[in-house]
Order: sequence, then structure tokens, then C-alpha cells
Amino acid sequence: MRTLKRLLSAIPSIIGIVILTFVLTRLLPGDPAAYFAGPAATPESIEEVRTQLGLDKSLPAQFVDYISALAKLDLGRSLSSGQSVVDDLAARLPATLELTLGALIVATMLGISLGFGAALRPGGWPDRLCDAVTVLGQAMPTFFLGLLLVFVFYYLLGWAPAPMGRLEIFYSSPTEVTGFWTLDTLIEGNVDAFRGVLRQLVLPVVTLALFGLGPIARMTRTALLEVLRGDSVRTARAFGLSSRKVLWTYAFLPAAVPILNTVGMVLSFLLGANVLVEKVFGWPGVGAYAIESLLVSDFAPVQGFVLLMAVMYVAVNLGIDLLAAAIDPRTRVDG
Amino acid sequence: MAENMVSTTTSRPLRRVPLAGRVPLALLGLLLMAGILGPMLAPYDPTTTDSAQALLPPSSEHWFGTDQLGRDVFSRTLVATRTDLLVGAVAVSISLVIGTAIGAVAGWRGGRTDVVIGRFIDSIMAFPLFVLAVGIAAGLGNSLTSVIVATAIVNLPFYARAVRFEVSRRRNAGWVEAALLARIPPSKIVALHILPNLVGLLATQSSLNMGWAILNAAGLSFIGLGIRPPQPEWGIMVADGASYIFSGEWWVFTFPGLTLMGAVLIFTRAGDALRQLLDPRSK
Repeated sequence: MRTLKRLLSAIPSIIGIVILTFVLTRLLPGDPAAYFAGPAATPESIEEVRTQLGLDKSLPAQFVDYISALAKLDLGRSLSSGQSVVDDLAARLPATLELTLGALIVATMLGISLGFGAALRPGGWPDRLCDAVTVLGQAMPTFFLGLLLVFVFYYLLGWAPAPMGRLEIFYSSPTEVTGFWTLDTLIEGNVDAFRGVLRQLVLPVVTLALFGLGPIARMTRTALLEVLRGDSVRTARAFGLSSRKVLWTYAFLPAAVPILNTVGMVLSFLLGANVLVEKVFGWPGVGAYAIESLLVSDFAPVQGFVLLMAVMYVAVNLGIDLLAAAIDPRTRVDG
Repeated sequence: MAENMVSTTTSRPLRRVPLAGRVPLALLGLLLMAGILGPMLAPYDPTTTDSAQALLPPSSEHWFGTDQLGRDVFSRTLVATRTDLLVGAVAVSISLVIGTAIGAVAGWRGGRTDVVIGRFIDSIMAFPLFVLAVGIAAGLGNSLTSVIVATAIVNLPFYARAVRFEVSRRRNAGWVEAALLARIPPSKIVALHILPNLVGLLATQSSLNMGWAILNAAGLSFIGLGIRPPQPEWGIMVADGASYIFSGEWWVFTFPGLTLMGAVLIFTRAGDALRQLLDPRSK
């Protein structure tokens, strides 16, 4: 019941996203028909394009067209690649997901460990590191951090490979099964290429993860401290439970819900910062695709990209909410 | 173990030092001065190219070195301060004014108006914000104005939500009812009696937001939106310098990047300092 309610609550967000992206498509300055007809167009051919694009209809009618195209998963065509935007996005999405999820996992694991350390010994080095990472994460431009890491670890130290995509050219790229090259190389049993893929992933993942780390570590610290001071932990201690059991069962589980919510918030940031990181590392994902299209004034891919990211964000937050409800017994009982 | 857990939040080093709040405010003054006086103080013209001087490392003549066209990186970084601060300031002002207005209307009227405005704000928040900014800037066309508008729109929700909450909280206060009975028009009550209470909150929020707006705008120009070369701007300068990493000319991207980071740091720290100054009870 509760799950159903939460699922339904995502509907207004989706409607809002669809309306906003529709508005974005109509914002183009000047006459879109003239734009799409190209510079050599005659007034007649512009009119023709207008009818073709349905731009001669009223706005509500255009909105209906937009919705029915969306329902058929038609996001238009990319002028530069000549392909349908949906196909282009689908081909590039795994690269973006591999990067973003990698960063989210690293940020979550490091963030929680750091927050744990900070909560157990306030004022100690993990606590101070936690503060430093938070401040840095707020002020550091993503793209600048990426370039600094490239300079230090590629140019100066030579530890990292060149920031040119998912795999260096002397490896042959794996046959795509999942689209996640870390998995695909393993499926092929090609350990060498797997290492190569990992090496390419390290710097962009670290760049992205650093920005997620601060909020997660902070929330872990705050939530844990609050629970540790609470009655349940005092009682558990009074009953003589081992400190490990107290920490993991009585302290960490209640703290997990606010931490999960922070992870959702961090994801929003990572999906945005991803665009910049993909540009810095020549990563062939959807963000780089959107930027390339944008710079040649090819707008359908950009709009498709924005819609895709928003829908993914809503979906993941939905998943996180459901997970949080599953973890937190209070919401289970109330439901 | 239990005892030292209780005494945690009060003994954090930063909070004991009142001076820590004044340093970012002083630096903020310095940054604003650089923004105002930058073009006058710059030792070289920021756009004059000189191929004989290209890619020189930092020296006493060129503190931050020179870029691929022989322009002085220090002068360009300094002059760019005005552009970056202006873009941030205009964007934040727009979101402050519009966000406050729609937040105040939603909070005062309540009911259906509140629901509609709330949905609109929620729709903005449903996007990863930088992605939405890219979408808006793309939709409006590649210009500086669209970068500013895009940055303003993604910042709007923070003001609208805060103001909505504060206005609706005071909506039914005794003194508001008294003012209504005295036939003072609601717009006047909100503008003259309720909003002045929120000045501190909004000032703090704006300082924090400035840092974020500058980052956002620099990010957009890093990917090629908005400001056109040869006008100096931190995001573009970092983007331009990126190609020279591979030949070891690190100074071209490092100095504008560090300056950008410093500016953002100053605004966020000053925002924190302002909050403590205006509301000593907050942690």
C-alpha cells in the first residue's frame, strides 16, 4: 500500500519534467522552422518544414504531438549523426552509467567509512578530513579537479593512462553484452583488457566521487552521533551487548535512512557533474554527446539528454525511498 | 566512551575562534575590489596577443605565465573576476527577486496557488540541476544571457521554498491579523512587515548561492556555452588551458582554476560567517 502510494507520487514529478522539457523545446529563439530548414531555405520550404514539424498547430496540439512521440519513444533525430536520438542515447548510456555508478559506489563506501570514523572519535583525523573534503567539494570546480588529477597522475607521474575514453586503443574493445566494459571484459575472460578498463575508470571516478563524499560523510557522522546518544543505544549497552553489535544493529541501521536519502541527493549532483567529467576525460557517454550536439546547435539530442537524466533521477530516488521504507521498521509498522 | 560522545559538537575547533568568521568577510571585500578595479590594476592588456611571448612559464614579469597566444594569464585572471562575479550576481539577484516573490505569494495565498507554485518548484528540483541548466541554456540559444537565466532558474527553488515557509508561518500571526483588520493591503503587509524579517536569511542564502552560481556559470562556459573568447572568463580559461596539460604548460589552466575555486570558497565561507553573525543560535 505504502509502496503503491510512493510509486504514484512520482507521477507529478514525471508530468512536471515532461511539461518543462516541452517548454524547453519551444524556447528556441527565432523561428525554429527557419532554423531546421537551414540557411538556404526559401519561404516555401520553411513553411513546408513548419507543417512537417507540426509547428503550424496550436501549442496544446503541439503538446499532444510531443506526448504521443514520447510515448513511442521518439525523441527526434540528431542532425549531426543522422541517427534517432533514442538510439544514440542508448548506445552511450552504459558508458555514463558505469562512470556514475562507479563514482556513487566509491563515494558511498568511503563516505560512510569516513563518517563512521568521525562519529566514533569526534575531533580525530577522520573528523577533520571529513570537514576538509566537505569544504573542498563545495568550492572545487569539477572540471578543474579532473584536469589537476590528469596533470599530476598522467603527465607528472605517468601512473594513469591518457584521459581518452574507456580503453586505450591498443586493446580491442569488448563485445558489448551489458555495455558495462568492466563486466564485458570479464565475461570474455580478458583480464588484461579488464585491467585496462579499470585504469581508465580510476581518475574520472575519483573526480566525481570526491564531490559525493562530503555530504555522505557528513550525514553519516550526524546521523550516527544522534543515534549513539539516543536511548536505544544506551539500553543496548546497558544490556551488555558487544560494542560491535550495538554499532551495527542498533546504531547503523537507524542511521541508514538519512544516509540513503543523502545518497539520492548526491546522485543528482553526480548526474550533473558527469557532463563536465565526460568532457575532461573524453568519455564517450551521453553527457559528452549532448555537449557535442549543443556546440553545433543540434538541439534534439540535448533535449533527449535532459529528459533522460531527469527520468533517471526520479527513478533512482523512487528506488531509494522504497529501500529506505524497507530498512526502517517504523515506516513498515505504520504502513 | 559514552562520555566523550556527548561532548562532541561543542568542541569543534572552527567554532571556538570568532576570528574565523571575519577572515572570509575580509577576503570577500578584497574579491569585490578585484572585481571593481581589476581592469585598472591589470599589468597587461588581457586580450592583446603576442606570439613571441606564447606559453612562457611564471616569472617576475608574468606572475602566472602566458597562454598559447602570449597573453598574460595574471591580467586575464584578474580582469575575468568582474565577468564571473557579475554573471553570478545578476543570476542570484534574479533568483532572489523572483523566488522571493513567488514564495511570498504561495505562502500568503496558500490553497491552490500554493499547490501550483509548489508543483512548479518541485518540477525544477526533479532535474539534476546542472543538466537542467545545460538544457535551458541550450533552449535559449548560446549566449551570455542564457547562461545567466539558466543559472537563475536552477537557483530559484531555494529562495521560493525558504520564503514560502517563512511567510506561511507568519500568515496567521496576531499582528498580521491586526494589520488586516486595520485594512492594510496584504501586499503591503508582506512587503513591509513580513519580508524584512527574512533579510538575514536571504542575505546568507545569497552569499552561499553566489558561490554556487559562479561555479555553475563557469561550468557552462567550460563546455562552450555563453561567454565567447577572447573575453577572459575563468571557466573558458581553464578549458583553453586544458590542451596544454599534455605538453606540461600547467600554469595556463591552474591559475584561473585556483582563482575560481578561491572565489567560490570565499562566498560560501562568508555565507557561513554571515549566518553565525546574524543568528548566533544556529550551530
